[in-house]
Amino acid sequence: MSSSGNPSAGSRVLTIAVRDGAVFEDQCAVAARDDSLRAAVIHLTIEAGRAVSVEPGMPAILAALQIPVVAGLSGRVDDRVLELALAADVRICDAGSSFAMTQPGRGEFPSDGGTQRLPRVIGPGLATDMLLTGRRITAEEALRVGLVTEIVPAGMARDRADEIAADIAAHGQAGGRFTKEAVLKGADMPLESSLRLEADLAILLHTDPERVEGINAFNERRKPDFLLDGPQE
Amino acid sequence: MTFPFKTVLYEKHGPVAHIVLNRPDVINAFNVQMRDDLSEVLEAVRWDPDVGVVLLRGAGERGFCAGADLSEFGSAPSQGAARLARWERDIFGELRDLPAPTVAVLHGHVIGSGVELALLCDIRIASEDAVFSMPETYYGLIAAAGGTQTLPRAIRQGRALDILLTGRRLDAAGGRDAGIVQRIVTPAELAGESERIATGLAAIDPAVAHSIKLALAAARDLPLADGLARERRLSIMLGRDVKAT
Repeated sequence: MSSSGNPSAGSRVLTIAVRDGAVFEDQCAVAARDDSLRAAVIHLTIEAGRAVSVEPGMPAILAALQIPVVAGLSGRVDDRVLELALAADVRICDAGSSFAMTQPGRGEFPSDGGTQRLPRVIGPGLATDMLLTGRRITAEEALRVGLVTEIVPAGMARDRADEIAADIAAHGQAGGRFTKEAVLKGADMPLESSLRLEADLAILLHTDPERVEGINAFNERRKPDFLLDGPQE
Repeated sequence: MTFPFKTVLYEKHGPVAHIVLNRPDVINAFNVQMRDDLSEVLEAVRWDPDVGVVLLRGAGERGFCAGADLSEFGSAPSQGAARLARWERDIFGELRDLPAPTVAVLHGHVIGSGVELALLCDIRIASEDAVFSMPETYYGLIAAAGGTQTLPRAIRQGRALDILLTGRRLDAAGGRDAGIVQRIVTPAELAGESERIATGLAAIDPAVAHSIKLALAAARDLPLADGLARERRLSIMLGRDVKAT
């Protein structure tokens, strides 16, 4: 990694484009490989009359990333677009957005994680309703059930998602990655085992210089600076 | 009855055990001494047949708990020693596994391991001045008192990831909407309302209360068929207890 002074948190965020499957796959490969990255953001902002095309398999590729992923959502976030959003970690949306799984009504089966991630995120009752009836929920309902965690004024989702990703990128890198791993991998374990995973990750973190910087910053009542390049060899 | 510890007050009023985090100068920041004091208190509570309910709260005006005392962080001699210490005095597991119902009574700052301690209780009530946040990743850390596991189980995955990754602060209403707490009252009502809840919980047959806690743990961890079998077995065991008396 080359030294470049004190790069801003924004430069540690990768924006993953969703227009083209091959480009998407390449960018996710970069996100998996580039150790300087701290967060990724995807914009699923569906303008009237212009659909985002999400190809089969894309949600699985996104879900495999270790870095936290923020999704900015807008418009009708339906079907595979929703499945891709569910593979992100933090979701926010424009006012007026709506969410639905319409495949079953057309005799199609949602096979990019919709039947698994939707119930984990919004609970089994509403997920079953949405999956079987095609029921569309509003942004407000999505906020209430935890599908999104913020609604922003129409047109602002893109900027706000970038801002949240930059915030996450200013936090500890291993802290963010390990937190994501603990939450997602621990979800499939009995609580007792999952607590051991959490504790082991916390203790693995003891070797991380950023943990030392964070603790020092706390004790010196200053903001941690994880983005300065370390001492050069 | 009052039992003195350096960082924790422990009092019993009839069947109600009051555990009070007591470092108000530092908003009850959780340190090694508090871990050791809590470990002794929880051990006593666990084997005390007179305790029907446990209230956990923080001393002072400023809040329940401001999180881990980071001035002590990094003092463990090695990773192996830190790991051993974590499980030798697993006060988080001890709190979670108490047979009696537990109520977290929250006010002011409820930060980091303050949120995690509350999540290990069965019921959470907060006053309107409560503020919740999990700022661990901001300081290059991860939540390590169970928060990465208990928070998503309490409020589901999407909200939990948001709170844990962004460090977002929630006010009392936000905490209730997210599902971190079930009840909000005014600061003036907090003590009375938590006493009222405690009185109600203390009136439940302790064996029934414990069985409900065990059944809920099964609901959390087991496939449905196994959970239902556990529920049935707990019911049969309670039935035998009733007939025996």
